[in-house]
Amino acid sequence: MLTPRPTRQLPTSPGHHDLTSLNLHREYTLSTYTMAAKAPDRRRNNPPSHGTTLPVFLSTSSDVVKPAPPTRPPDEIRKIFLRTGLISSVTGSSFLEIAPLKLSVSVLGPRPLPRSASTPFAAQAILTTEVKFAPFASTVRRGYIRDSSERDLGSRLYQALVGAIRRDLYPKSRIEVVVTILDSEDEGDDVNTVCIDEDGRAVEPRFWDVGRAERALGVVLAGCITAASAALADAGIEMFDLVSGGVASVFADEDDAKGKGKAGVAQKRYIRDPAVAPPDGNTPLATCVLGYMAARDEISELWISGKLSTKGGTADMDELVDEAIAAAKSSRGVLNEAAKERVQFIVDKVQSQSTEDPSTTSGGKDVEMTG
Amino acid sequence: MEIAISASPQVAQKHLVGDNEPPPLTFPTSLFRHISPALYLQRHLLHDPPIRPNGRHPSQQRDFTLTTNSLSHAHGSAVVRTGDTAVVCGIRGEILTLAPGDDYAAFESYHHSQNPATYGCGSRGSGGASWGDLVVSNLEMSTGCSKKYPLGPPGSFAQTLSDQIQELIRVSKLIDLTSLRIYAQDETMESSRRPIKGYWSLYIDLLCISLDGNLLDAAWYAIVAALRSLKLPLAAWNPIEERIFCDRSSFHPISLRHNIPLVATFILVPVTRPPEDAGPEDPARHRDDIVLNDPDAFEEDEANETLTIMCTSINETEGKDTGSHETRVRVERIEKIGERKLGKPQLRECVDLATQKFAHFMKVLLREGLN
Repeated sequence: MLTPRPTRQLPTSPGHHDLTSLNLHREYTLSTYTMAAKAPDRRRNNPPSHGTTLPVFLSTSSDVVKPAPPTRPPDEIRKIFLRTGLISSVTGSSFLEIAPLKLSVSVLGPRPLPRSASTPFAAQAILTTEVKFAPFASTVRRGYIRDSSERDLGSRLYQALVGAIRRDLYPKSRIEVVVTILDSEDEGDDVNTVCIDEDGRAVEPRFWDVGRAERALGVVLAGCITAASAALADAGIEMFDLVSGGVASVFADEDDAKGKGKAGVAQKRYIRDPAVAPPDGNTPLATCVLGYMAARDEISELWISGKLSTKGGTADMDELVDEAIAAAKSSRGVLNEAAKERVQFIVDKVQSQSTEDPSTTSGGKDVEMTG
Repeated sequence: MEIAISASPQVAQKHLVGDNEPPPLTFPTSLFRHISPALYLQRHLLHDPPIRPNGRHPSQQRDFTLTTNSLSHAHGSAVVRTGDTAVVCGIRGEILTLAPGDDYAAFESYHHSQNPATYGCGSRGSGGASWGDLVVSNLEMSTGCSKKYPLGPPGSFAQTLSDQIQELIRVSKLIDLTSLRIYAQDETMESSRRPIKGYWSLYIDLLCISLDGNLLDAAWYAIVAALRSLKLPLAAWNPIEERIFCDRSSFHPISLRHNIPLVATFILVPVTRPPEDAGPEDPARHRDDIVLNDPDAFEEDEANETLTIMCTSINETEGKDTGSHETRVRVERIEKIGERKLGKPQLRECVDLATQKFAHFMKVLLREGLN
């Protein structure tokens, strides 16, 4: 086993009282983190018994990468690629891509509940949602067993979708939504970088900013909601409305505050669909993620985390929620286009089949099934 | 196209001609796919020329597309799509630090873990769980890739396939394990004399996104392409910090076997020829096997025999003066599951098809710039 060495504790960001932040900010030390920390899994191939550590990079103070300047206005979301119906062996599916985030959703069902004595009667369809990160989807390699942040994302996705589906139309059946996240934007390389000073000695790693995990997970959850409702629509499951996900963050603009000479009263800056790295000179305050049904003007899931002042009542919160709704409306446009594209594809397919001479269609032409 | 169900074609004819009688019960051809899949497949294959329900010839393989390095957190990655089967392969390197007294030769052998107790039991050991080697491959199917496979921990099919892939990597010695060494940082000594301080451990994670048969071939192609695109950061032992650090700016590929082996999977479908088609007084001719290349999920269900061929091509210089190259194929491994007899000509045909597939894959790799 590894020889014991002085461990370097990564600082955890203060003020997190949220379930989701537990995982990304779990306390681990760089030198004791190993893949072989748990007992071997008898259903899978296991890592070597020595245990392995994720690669740790050395960086000097000179090559600290500054976040790239924003290339889009704060009220514009990133480009979304959404396509449905790529998986033929399930009822409905979709694939979504927003910059580095790539996820695939498949919808299984509605199918009958297993027939057993323990299965209760269900007058409404039972919805289950599962969210799983691929092992290679984040900076720290994830295991195959669902961890707490994945379960949390799953239950939030459930909340966002369950109200939109007309479950009463599917009694005694279940609908499963499975989300596989192939790639995501997360804390970045800060977790595996050790800075060295001029003498070649390592110094404490940089303190990462508050709310980074919320922004990372928020973008993932918003993407999950949008993609999952596209997949549900592709599966032909009756819904009241499509749910689209939106995420917005509020920052305090420190530079602005300094310029005006009013210390402490920083200008608020709202950014829709924020990148994980905060813009230069801005302190993150709070992040809001929601599932929004645009046609009914209804919020099906709301998650705000961070610091918001309550001096002026709920004005701050309302503003942030409005920004997130605006982001959700923007992604709703993409959702509508994807649904339209798919309907057009199906219509074209049916038309081309019906115009063809039935005697020349494949499958039926040469096969005698008598006898 | 509608077909009448009746005892013989003549009876059906009579029914259709007769004016007074009610029309017989008819079903569309596609329904027979569900009522009697085995017969449906057989009748297709007995047709002259034989054509599979999916419109392919028995020896025709599906087209496939390959995309490499599309994931940001993996050191090497590939997405392979053959027909409706899609596999994502992400490879990540993690560092295994040798403790003083470790026998490094054990890590560089593909066979060290096969002591009599675990031999033949795969890497999971005899009935229980065990630790693996430097190269750890796993296949995950619980991604909602197909209706047939339930979500949750890997079932027997996923475990078998995972094991088969791990075994193929081990038997073919695909990766040169000596290229995974991490040396001490010492500029004065030449690289071969430096002490070995650790190893890169490769986690090969395969996610089946969409499943329509022949997962093994797609998975193997994804592994080979991802290994080709793999770039590990330069790592060295840092004597001051007494640990291994990586360099963010320089990367190196790992060395693979010179002749990359590839796999091709076939299935054998038993067909019973009608007596009039077969030779006179030869009952053996009534039963026949038809070899199908690159089966889809429907055909896999009906097959009772699977054949997997692993082969590689070797370029041999024929006559030094002419300098002409002749490509020869070497079969390295044949796995056949099932009891049916497979003749030499059929095997020969399979090897030829495997060779074609091999050449095609190499062309695609070349197009990706990975050859």
